[in-house]
Amino acid sequence: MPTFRQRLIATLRAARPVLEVDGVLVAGSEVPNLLERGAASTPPSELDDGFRVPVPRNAGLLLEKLVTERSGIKGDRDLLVALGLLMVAEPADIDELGGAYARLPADLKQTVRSNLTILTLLERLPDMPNPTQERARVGALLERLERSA
Amino acid sequence: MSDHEAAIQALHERARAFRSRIQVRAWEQRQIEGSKGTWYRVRRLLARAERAYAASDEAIEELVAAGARCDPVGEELEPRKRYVLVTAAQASRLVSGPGLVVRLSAELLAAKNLVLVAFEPSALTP
Repeated sequence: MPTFRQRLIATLRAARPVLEVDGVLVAGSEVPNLLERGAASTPPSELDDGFRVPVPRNAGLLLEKLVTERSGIKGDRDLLVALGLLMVAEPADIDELGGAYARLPADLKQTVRSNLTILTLLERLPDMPNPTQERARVGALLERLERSA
Repeated sequence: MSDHEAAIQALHERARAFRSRIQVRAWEQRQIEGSKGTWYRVRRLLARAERAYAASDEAIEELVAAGARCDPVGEELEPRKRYVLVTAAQASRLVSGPGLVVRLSAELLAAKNLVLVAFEPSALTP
């Protein structure tokens, strides 16, 4: 049975003509899989045969996930996608995220910080990054953003 | 109504809904220092904790006597709680074992007193 990643790549290959249109980005929850360390670490993600999948910059997508208020399982899964992005983020991505966060209005900054606190307290969901093992990483980002708030 | 007019009306309706959401969010932001922000402050406190232990009144009082501080957010809850965030060294004499899972569980929220063991500062250095 093909893995999620194999199915994802097959889907992206099928959509290749669309993805080659200038300005089109893959921006959904599959992006962390494309940014997986050792698979393709910088956008646009390049698959084995040179097919480049256009993805947003890590910091922008991470902030977009954190600035969105959602609830329930959908909200939890979105935050776990943010966690996946955070786990593959490089220091430069975190710097970029900090810069983008600093330009947000106060209410959106609060939303970001609130979502990070939720992320530190989530339970593990199947086939998603394990938040219970990444609490310190999320806490570190929270501390950093608070210092710049 | 023509298709064009219907599309314009729909755009106006979306803009109105968007402005409404902005106003609600701004109002919520203004309330964050009050009870509206209580759950955020509880989560923020728990986010600083690597481990959590339900504790006796005596354990909390001993920690407070030694200089620890009950977090004010406990006073915002009814019934009131006493949450003390301490270092692992401070907690070691009073609590042990795996403790409670740090999340918003009924078990954790039902505890009258919580000793929260803070992450080491180095763990929270980005």
